[in-house]
Amino acid sequence: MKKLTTSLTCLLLGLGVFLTGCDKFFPAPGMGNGPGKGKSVKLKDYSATPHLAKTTPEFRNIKLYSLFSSEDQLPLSPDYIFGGSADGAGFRRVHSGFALIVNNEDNWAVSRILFNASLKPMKGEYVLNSDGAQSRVCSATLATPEEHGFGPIFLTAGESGVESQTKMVDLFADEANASFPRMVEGFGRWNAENAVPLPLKAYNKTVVVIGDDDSGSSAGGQVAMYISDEVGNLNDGKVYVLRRKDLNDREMDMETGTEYAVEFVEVENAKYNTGDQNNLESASLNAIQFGRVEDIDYGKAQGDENIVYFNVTGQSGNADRSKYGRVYRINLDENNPLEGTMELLLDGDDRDGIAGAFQNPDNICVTENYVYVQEDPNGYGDETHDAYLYQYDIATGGLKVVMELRNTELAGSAYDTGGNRFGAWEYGAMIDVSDELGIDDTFILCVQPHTWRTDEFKGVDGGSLRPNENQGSQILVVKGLAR
Amino acid sequence: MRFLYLLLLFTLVSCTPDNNDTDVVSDIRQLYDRHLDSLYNSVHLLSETPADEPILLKKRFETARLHFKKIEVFGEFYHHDLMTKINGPAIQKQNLHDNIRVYLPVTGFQKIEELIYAEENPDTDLLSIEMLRLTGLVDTWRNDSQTVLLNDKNVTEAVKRQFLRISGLGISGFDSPVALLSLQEAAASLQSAGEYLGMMMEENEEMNILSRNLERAINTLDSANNFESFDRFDFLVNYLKPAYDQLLVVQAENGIENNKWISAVNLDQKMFSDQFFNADYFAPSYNRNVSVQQVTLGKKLFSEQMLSSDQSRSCVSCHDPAQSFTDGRKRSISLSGDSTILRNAPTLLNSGFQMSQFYDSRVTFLEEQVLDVVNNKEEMHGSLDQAVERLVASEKYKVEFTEVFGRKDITPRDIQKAIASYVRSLESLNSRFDLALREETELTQEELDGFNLFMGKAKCGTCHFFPLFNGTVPPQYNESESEVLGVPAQYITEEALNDPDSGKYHVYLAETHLYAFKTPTIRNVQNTAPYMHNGAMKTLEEVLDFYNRGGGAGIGIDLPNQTLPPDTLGLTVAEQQKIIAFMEALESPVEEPSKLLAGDQ
Repeated sequence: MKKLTTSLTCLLLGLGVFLTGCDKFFPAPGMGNGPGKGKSVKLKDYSATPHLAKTTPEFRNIKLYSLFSSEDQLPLSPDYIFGGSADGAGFRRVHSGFALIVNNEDNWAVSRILFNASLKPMKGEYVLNSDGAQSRVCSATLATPEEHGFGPIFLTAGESGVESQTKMVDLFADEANASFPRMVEGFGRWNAENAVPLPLKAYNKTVVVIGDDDSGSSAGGQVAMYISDEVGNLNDGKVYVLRRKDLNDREMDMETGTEYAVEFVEVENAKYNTGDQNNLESASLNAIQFGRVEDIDYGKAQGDENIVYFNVTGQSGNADRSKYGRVYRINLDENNPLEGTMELLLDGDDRDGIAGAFQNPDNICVTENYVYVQEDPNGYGDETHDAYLYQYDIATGGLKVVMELRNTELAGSAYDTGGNRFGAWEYGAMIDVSDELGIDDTFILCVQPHTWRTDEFKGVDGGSLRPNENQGSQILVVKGLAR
Repeated sequence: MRFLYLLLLFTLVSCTPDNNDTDVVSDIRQLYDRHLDSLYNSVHLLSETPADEPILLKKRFETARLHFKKIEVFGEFYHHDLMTKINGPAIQKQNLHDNIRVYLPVTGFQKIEELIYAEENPDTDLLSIEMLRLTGLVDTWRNDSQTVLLNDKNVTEAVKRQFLRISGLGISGFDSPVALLSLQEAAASLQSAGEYLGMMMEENEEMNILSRNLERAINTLDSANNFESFDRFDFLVNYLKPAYDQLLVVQAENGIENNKWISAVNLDQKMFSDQFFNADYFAPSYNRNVSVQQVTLGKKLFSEQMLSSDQSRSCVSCHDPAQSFTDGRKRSISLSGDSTILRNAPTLLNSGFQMSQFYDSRVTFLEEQVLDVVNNKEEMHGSLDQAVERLVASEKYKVEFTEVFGRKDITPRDIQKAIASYVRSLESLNSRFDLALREETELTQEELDGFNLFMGKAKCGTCHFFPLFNGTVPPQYNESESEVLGVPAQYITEEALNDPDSGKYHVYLAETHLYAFKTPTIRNVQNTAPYMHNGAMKTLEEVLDFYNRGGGAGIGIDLPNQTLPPDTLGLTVAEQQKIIAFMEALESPVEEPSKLLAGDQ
């Protein structure tokens, strides 16, 4: 009971910040009045930066817009410089425009960008800096009251070793608090890439799927799950890890075309264990040891809320695990998130198979009919293309390349100071913003051109831990990509 | 107003992280918090020190480090990743799985140490950035420490690991390579460990003994005249080990269990007993707790020629048990017989105690090493599928595999598991040196001197970690390190040419790994000549000479990423001989499955 009161009190406090935050952060000048459904939004290249990605001929009808980048000055925050390696992101309509909350992974920071009703970027600020984030922040999820039953809270996992914790950032957090983290203790310590709450509709309680981006030899990466019967309670639930019912924990023993019976088994005391202990416990429970679990998403079609998709990015030097990356799907039991079946959908390690071109999938975005998979090449030296964005057709199982980053094409320009190497760039999050904008088939796509470096982008987050980080990055809008 | 006050109070109380410490350790928490505050204040003060006041800088640096050492025990146990940022080696590292972009920045104490101790005119901007960053990192630690669980099991384990850290890293100067503050820091660390234990354990005779043991150890460290002459063997055997072993007694008296998880060191064993290390920790989870029959089958397969394509050789061909599992050649003969393979055949003794295999660390587990060697065109040019076909034709093998694996068929993985478990059983940790640690025999003065040089002046122990003397980093043993030495193609001492083998770089393509090779064990080393990945050095004298000159840098090889300090060690010939005498005391008979047999009974 004490704990219940605790979280309620914290929630109320959070609400207070929310309320004052709204007034404070949406000053009238420059901001339009409330956006009409899609009417006031004007998609265009608001940024000076060229598109750092291009579509393949088959998808030439898709429109890309350069929304903003590290080299743009935003009118209401002339001193703000958008950090590098834009990754996990959340987007939300707010009363006078839109807000994008986005990780700057290598800055160990979280930016919030405010747009007017036309979607013109107006103001940027760091709501979490490196002192507050304390570790790399990767994919992330904006939990919302409408979809998840709590929020809006940005859940951003920590990925700097096994002792990392997920942090929560209020969408309307005050910039002054950027050095102070709010940790999600209930999930336990993992080297996590993302912690994704399933829609409330799925089980009418809070179920969060956590991907452990760990390459460690003793336990690898797990898929973990946090469950709380009390919606929105991120502190007092239980933590589980994924294992096969036959207890085979070796990733490379799984093949496409086979359904494996799986279950989530409890990691006792996970909240209080060290990350190392959670790994050891997972291994002793025969949890599947993946070669670095990356981003996670769930089915978006009506009734698919209990279907989980996730990427494994791969690692070298460990033949028990994926090297080039894979995409898996778990069909969780409709009535019990702890049971289900799992399939390997796309196998990058089968170099003759349909996913044989995979160079380490990282972020994932699931829509009603498709799974979009974005690459982040590990740099094995055998790369043959720049990072692809793939479209997987859920109904047919077909796989197409939608986009490629312009990494080598722009070699030698200011955007690539890294020496013309395939796959030096990666994608960050792609998020579906169609409903928020009122424009169908529209996405925001983050690009991490890792070789776009300049002193002007150095140490911009305001924290003390990443003073030499000097990358730039870009946010694109993608229109006309089928959901 | 009153309501507001109450609300505020309630809020402060209820939103304080719930760290769930047990009552037993709440005093420890308070002391830990106080030490953390002192550390924060001292690094903050350090960061405000003008760069042109070197004496003050050093003084404040030393103070800050002493505060650090008082809580390193918890920092390392609960926040290991953060500790690598606060106190990691000042060597550029790259993330193996993201080598394009992720250079792990060199930060923390050792970076600052390099700036204020090694350089006459340190870059003041760099220095102030690094000092500010250290302050931020310590602040992070302060925040993060509030959400960890201090309980009796964890505190006891953390203290044991801290004792091991002192023995394997502390007294060798591993984390104080320039300032050489390690001895006083070890004393500070033992001092605080004693305080933490005193708050948790019942006050009785056994605890008094432990306190006295610690006090004696601290006095020995405090009264040491200088870093080089410190008698490390004496400290380990007569001071640190008694404290460690007494902690086991006190732990039992207080009814504190060990954590249940598998660990590289068996936490219920006396320090460096013959059952101290657990090779299973280094095995993949699917090949642990194996049967004696499996190891025996593995031994048979180890000399089974069916594994090579033309059935002309087996593992034994290059890893001869009579030569400590080497072949005595610079490089092994290739399968065709008319050339040599890329590298020297290393000993397999104690190879289980590593978190990666091959000189270039290209596989994690011995199971995959088996596959790699069988498939290698120069080595066996075979395939495990082919081997299975041959093995199933033998009734005897079929019966043996069925007995071990409980299935009628034989799979390639069974072969890998069997051979790997045999190789993992090749433990050799009962040398005269080990017996002397357990006070079951005595070393000669020359050997003792050699050990003290190895762990001190000669810096060998900063890479070949006591007591396994390989590159697997104590006390967690989660990682096996590689080093860039500048090994020459042929051993000459002037204008030598770098061996062109790119080592770990060839596998992971990370620039920092160019010419990097895994640090091997030096146990049984007098039987494993010639030395280095290419067998370039014929004798241990040549090896010592090479290191004494500062590695490649001392013989005309200029590698910008050499990880071995390029300076001469200043060892006399007599000192080098002493080190060799010590290393010879590390020869240990191979104990085949005996350990497993003991375990099964």
